[in-house]
Amino acid sequence: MKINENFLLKNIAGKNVVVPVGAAAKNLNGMITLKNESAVYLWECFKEDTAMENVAEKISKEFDIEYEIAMGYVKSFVDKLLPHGVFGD
Amino acid sequence: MKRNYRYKIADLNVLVTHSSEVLKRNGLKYENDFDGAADIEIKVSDSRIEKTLEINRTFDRDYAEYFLSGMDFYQKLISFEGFMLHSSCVAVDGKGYLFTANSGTGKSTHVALWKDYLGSRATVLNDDKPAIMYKNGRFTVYGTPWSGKTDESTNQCANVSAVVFLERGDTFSIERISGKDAVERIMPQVLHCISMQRAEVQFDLIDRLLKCVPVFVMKCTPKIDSAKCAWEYLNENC
Repeated sequence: MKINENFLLKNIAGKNVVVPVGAAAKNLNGMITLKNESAVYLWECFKEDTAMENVAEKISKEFDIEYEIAMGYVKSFVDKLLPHGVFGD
Repeated sequence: MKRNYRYKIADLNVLVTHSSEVLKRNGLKYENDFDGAADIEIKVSDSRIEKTLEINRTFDRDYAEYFLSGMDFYQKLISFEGFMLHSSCVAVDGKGYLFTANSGTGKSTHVALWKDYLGSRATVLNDDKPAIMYKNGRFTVYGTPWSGKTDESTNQCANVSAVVFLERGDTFSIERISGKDAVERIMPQVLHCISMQRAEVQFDLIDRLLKCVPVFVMKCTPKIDSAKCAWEYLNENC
């Protein structure tokens, strides 16, 4: 899965926001705030087509945390964005 | 019968090919017979007008063309480091104050009170969609022919001195907020971009605006006293 290219992540006045561009606005009316740096990092991970498990593996190694905990972060990130078509086509 | 109209809007040469009586009337004070190529060219297709008429039953053909030409203008404006803020803008002594909120909150009402209170010292640059341009390290706000229901605009510009998020209240209050806290409030009031490239530019501009222009949240009643309080506070603090 990967982030739909019609969503833009922008840091605006210190706030990391995800905004829909063009047709993506059908699924997201407004914006989503990514509340911390780890969410921004996960966003970057999903810019390429990848599996949740791969991303969990990556952050588990990079930040020296247990795989299950890493997977928790990944799942929570995906759950937040999925309903808005962020991972759709 | 569509014809070419040449305008000077936000210091840009704009060519609009249209047959809208509404745009003709509102655009009169912006007409400018410039030489050479236009910076922005606009021509709204009949099929888009038809589509808009289907969705918006309250529009007639003239208004639909007026509305769509405005949307096109503001999308293209982004290429010139400018953007639209859904707001009512009043200028006093060269300082522009933008009151923004969702439709129906009372922006136009409040700005009209500024005119009641300050008389000819206050100029409404645009009552609905002023154009904000970034040039030479500063933000300047301009009137445009696209000014919403009240058709009120002036072909002038002013420095952007403050952005005020307006809310209805029982008493008057105004407080400064951080640029960061303003993000969620300002986003619904800017254009939804149709291309990624334009979105990048627009949000960079908004980032810059929120970092260099003070933003406030103001609660007030629709009475002239609110205009007096707002004016006194903003004039002193911005």
